[in-house]
Amino acid sequence: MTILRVAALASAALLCPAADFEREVFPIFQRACSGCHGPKTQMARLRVDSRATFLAGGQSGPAIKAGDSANSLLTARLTGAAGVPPMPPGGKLGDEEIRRIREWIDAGAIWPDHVGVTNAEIRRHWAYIAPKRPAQSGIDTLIRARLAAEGLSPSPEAAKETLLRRVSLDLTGLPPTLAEIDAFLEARSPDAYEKQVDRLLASPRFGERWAQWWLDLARYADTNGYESDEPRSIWPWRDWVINAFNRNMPFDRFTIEQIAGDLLPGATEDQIIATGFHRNTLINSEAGSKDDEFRDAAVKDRLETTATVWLGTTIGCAQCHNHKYDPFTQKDYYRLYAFFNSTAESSIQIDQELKVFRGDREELDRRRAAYAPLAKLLDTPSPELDSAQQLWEQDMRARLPMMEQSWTKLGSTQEQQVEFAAARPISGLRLSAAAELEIEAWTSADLKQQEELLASQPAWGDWHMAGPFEAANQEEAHRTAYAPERGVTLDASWKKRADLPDGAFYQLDGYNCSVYLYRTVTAKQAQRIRVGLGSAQGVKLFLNGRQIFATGALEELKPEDGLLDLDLSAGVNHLLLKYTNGPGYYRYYFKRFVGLDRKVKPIEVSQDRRILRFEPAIAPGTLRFGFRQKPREAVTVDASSMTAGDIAGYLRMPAGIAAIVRKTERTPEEQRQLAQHYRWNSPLLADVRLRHDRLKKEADEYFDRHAVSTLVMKELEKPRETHVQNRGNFLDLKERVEPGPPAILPQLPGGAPANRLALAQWLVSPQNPLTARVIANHLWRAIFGAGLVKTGEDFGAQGERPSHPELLDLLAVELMEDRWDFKNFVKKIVMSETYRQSSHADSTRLAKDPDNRLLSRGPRFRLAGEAIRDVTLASAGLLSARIGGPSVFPPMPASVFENLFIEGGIQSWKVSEGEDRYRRGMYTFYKRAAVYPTFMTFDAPERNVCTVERPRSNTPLQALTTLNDEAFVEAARALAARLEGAASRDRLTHGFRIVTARRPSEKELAALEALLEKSAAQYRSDPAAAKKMTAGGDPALAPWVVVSNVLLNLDEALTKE
Amino acid sequence: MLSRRAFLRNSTTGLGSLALAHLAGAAPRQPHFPPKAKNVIFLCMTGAPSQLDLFDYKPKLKELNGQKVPQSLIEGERFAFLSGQPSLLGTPFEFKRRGQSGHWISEMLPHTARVADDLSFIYSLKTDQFNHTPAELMLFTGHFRPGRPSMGAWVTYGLGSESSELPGFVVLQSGRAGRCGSSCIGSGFLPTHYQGVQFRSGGDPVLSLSNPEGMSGALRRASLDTLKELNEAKLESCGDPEIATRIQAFEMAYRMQASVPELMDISKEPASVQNLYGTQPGRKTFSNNALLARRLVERGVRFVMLTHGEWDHHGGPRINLVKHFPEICREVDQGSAALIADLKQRGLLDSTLVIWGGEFGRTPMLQGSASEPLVGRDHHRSFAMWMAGGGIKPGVQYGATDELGYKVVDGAATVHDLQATILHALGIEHTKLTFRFQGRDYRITDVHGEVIRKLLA
Repeated sequence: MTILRVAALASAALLCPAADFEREVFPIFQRACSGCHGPKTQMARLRVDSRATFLAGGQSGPAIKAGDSANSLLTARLTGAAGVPPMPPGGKLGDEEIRRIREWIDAGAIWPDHVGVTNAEIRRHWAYIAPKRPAQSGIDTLIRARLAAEGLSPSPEAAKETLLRRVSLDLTGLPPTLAEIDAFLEARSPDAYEKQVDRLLASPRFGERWAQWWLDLARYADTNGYESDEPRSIWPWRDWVINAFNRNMPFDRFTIEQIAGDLLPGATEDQIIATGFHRNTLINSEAGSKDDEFRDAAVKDRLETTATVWLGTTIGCAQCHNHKYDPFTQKDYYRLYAFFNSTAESSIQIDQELKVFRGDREELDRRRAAYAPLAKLLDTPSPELDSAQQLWEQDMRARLPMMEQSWTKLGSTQEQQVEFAAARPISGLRLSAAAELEIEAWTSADLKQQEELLASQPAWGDWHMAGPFEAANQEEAHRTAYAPERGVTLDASWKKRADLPDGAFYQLDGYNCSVYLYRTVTAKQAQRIRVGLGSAQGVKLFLNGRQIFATGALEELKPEDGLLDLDLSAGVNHLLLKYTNGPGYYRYYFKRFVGLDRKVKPIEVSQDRRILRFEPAIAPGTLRFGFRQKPREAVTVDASSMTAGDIAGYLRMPAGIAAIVRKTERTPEEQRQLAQHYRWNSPLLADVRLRHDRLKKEADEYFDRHAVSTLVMKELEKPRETHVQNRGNFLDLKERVEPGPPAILPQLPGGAPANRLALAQWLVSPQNPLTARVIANHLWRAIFGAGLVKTGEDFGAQGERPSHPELLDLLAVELMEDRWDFKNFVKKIVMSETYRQSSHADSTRLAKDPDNRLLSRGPRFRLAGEAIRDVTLASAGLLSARIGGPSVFPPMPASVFENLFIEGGIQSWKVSEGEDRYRRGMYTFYKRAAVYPTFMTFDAPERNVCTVERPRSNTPLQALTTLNDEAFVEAARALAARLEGAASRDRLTHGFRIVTARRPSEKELAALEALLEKSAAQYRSDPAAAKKMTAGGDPALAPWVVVSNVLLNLDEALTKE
Repeated sequence: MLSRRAFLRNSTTGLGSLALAHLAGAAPRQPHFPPKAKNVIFLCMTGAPSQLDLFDYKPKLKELNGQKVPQSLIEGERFAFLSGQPSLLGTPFEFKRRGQSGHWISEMLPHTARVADDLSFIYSLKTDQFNHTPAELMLFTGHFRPGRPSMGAWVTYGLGSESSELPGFVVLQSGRAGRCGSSCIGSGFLPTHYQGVQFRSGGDPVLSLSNPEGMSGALRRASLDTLKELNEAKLESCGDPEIATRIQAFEMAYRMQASVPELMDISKEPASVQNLYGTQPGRKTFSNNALLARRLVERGVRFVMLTHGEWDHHGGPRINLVKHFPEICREVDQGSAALIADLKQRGLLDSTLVIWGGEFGRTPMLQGSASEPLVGRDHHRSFAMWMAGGGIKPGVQYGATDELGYKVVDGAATVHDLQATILHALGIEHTKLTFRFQGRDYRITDVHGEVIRKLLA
């Protein structure tokens, strides 16, 4: 078909001069059609700027019939025949133009080769062709070539102190100290700057600064997101990132370990921690959520994040349909989905955590070495053991069928009775349950005994409630002793509350208030009883008019922490509780501990098997079960009881061993496994085993005490099937697909399994045309404020083309040739003269290069929120140098939690003490539903999705933050206190240098001095204000705090210049 | 070439106006076509109120109260909590036709009933999310996963703000908070300037609004003057227009320090107004916030969002239709109706679009056992809302559910349709209000949304 048409065109070419088309027809297409049917957009899949695509036509078929304009679709469309409004929609073409086009068609529609773009160019967008080293080399050469072409010249080098501040901020995120500035100003050697760069590259702050950059891409946060937004522990992954940058891990390894570290042969603990990258997805634990829905959302997030970060590709567009602009199909999308579709974690609760040891490794090794010889002994066969094993096997074969009895479903009601007709005491029962459970199990005898115990219990009167008693705020309500604290008379102000539950939370009413609950407790004789108390906010307990217990006004009390023993007198006792609330919600919790506790925590045997162990054993008969919480899935119980021996055997009898016992013919390997299992359970070696188990338990406990957990990826043994989803709906599946890269890009090498590891290796393989360019561009943006490709997240047809294509290719090629050496790459950029230019802009530069895309000057832009906190604390001398560890909680206004649904509120934000108040911003607990307000105000994302580039807004709320926020005012006080110098001018200069790195001009100094004098005059007349301004410090410093506050708010302080 | 100094002198006004434009929102922007409404007040009833006990009257459901729901109706449906074949629950409340329009409104909302003729109802809204957080996200951001800008951010991005002293998008909260935290009021990938700013009832109404203790207003002014002088010197020497913007931002911050406390002080409103709303100055109530909403709109704030929960009446002792539902209805009824009446009386209703509703609806089926007296309903994907004011024809009843209130049978409208309609009232063509992020043009209606024409004035 195609061949025929081309042949026809070729012969027609002899008859008609080609210039007609090029001069008279093609320009019409370009002007009138290519907006919607051109290189950027192909509406109705028609593209008119290339012969091949034009002739092929769009979704309605070929646009023309060569030689027959009357029957060509194009004619109908242009004239508006067939009832369709004429094209283009903005206004019909002139008759003359339509005539020319028709003549061209009638004459055979000759389209010469050199007109329009070629087919090959269309298929291969620049970004999908591997980068090649350009003819010219060097950042500065390539930047200057473009500058010269635009009639611009480079700017001179920035002042030394400005340059040092800039490079310090870029490499460590922190400003230089005065000592560092002075040393650099004095240094005369030609490589003085390079020495500074090397010093900064070697600083452990380097890892922090670049981890900060990576955390937005990785959407790292310390909570799960959605409704309850509970805390999670994944900061060990964040520390892994810091370390990786500090150790200068090559970026290809950095990639592979994060995407698929768990699948590397002999994966180390660190490599598994690295896979936390893709565990930064959200978890929705709202009641009623279904795992399949949110797992699908997490898988999509993983593949889309991978495509954004490494491929600069908006693959998300292909979730519901083929990509409109880029050559990615819906099938491509689900082939990528398949790589991520087989991990084990849940998306409605936290699981798949790795425990990481952070204690004294030598001590742990010593403890482990202590039981190693015993383990060796248990691993050593002997003839004596062999013969004992024979007898054991016979015995086990006899018992095994017992273990396959029928199971009784406990259903989903909260209480259920099951009959156990065993002949002997029950030491345990087997349960099948997938989730962790809390179960109560009561025998008939228990219930009887409980009744008796209740009889000797004191008599409890009904609860009565008074209040709410309102106050200006929570502290006042908590502190004030309202009438009930002076004695209770059950008058009209008290309401009987028989509905308050025992042992469960209950929501109370009112804001900024207290309520009182009162009941009598009548004891037959003086006795001690236990109660449990809990609250979301402040609570006090009074017994017979005396305060027995109180929390702070804002403190949360967990029921497990609120166990109190009360000494009752004989006769009537008066129990009074006071619950206090602020602007949020508060809850009551009170529990009487009466008699027996029959809570049993099942022991996990395997994913869906648990054992209820009773110590001591219970008598057979009827057992009543109760669940603390309604189980998510049905629980079944094996009605045949177990003896202590059975339990030991069962716990120690993995499913595989049971299968081997049953076999009569075994392979040598099975024989070996069975013998080993026997030795480890044999009564003959019982005392060795006991010693071994005790020592091992101690070592394990030591490990647990010093372990932290972190979310990691784990691959299922059997991969899930992946299907194309109809319109992206996970419940509406179409054809099955196998994992693989998008068809337009190089494919996986043959042989290796197509899993996450293969994907990770593919991402950084030299054949991949995208990754090195995309990463180089990310780094360029982090330093210059804009990428060479401005749309760093989109290298596709809709993205912007690179401002300096050759430079981008050069950087990409060198990044790969340099074995992805991260520090070298960053060094190359900051060593360039382009980077070292002054950032001052004159009118020519502002007019010709307003956004500095041509790099006619050095970078100048506002710092990110975290960095603003860091430089402020550093200037104040407050910044902690501690690296890594759990996230911290700097002070935050309680009202931030007002807009949160979850209970607990600000109580869950336990303000850190000491040094942890002053950690770098990146260690602030990242709560997705309430991001630390300072960062939020400065454009920090919620980290629900991958963020390539934060907006850089400039708003009044930011001004209020840096002027008045507690942390910034505290920093102003600390800065005021550290200023040195005999005269005011010296101290002002000192402060100015600390904040901006440079010396103030005479004019600047005069302005600051004037403010200082004005402030001093005011504080002289108002000493009380001076005291408040210095918060208990030296009141004479008050004017200096005002000045410091101004210094820290200077545009220059908030900006990398 | 001009010297730098000359350039700056010549373009001082230029830089000043550039700075104002950068304080995005300071300058109002033109809509796509002449708008009916200028402002929006969204009364968000988080937790999802029961449409069947407020507006969508179903006598048949009452008649069949206690019977099992027909299996054919629920075949293949997923619910948050219900399973098996639950029983139908007729409303325990009395319904009446109200005003000229004859809207059915239950006895739970007597004040709202009095302004019925100003309202229009949609009975046929649908969402595909039946868990709270995703559904709230869907309603307010157009997508069930967090990360997108909220409606208020989109509107402020599209139209700018008409106030130079207040943010364009303000959020007030009373009762229990909604479930999606900042995600439903955030600016997503838009600059944070468009995010909803919470005005709080306790402490600083806006975070960090007050000067540090010990710094007088005069001293703040003096220090801002010095800061301005230093920043202007910097602007002159280095030429970065962002500095001009920053100078403006600090000045607006200073103005906000006066205008926000003045705004929040409702005690000076006359007694007649206080009585109309049923305000309690100093408390955190819906009525107070409704009055504040009017004051905000008067001052040119573009989008006001009032949230009030908790409407999640599943049944049982903690939260049921018997005790808790009437309570929360009382909390919001007077303020909602007063807002309509007050706006109307001041001639502001024509230019202010008011919307009342939650993230989804509730099932016609009872949740829990039939013997349980403390009844409630599970989450349901079809629901009702009312709209009033700018751009909306009053008295309209749009769409319908079947006689049990289970399925939409007429005029099905998605959450995206609702969003398109709200934007339309503001003169915005929803397909054109887009923002390029991660290489894609995003809009609140995603790839969907049809304006509900029959609601339009």
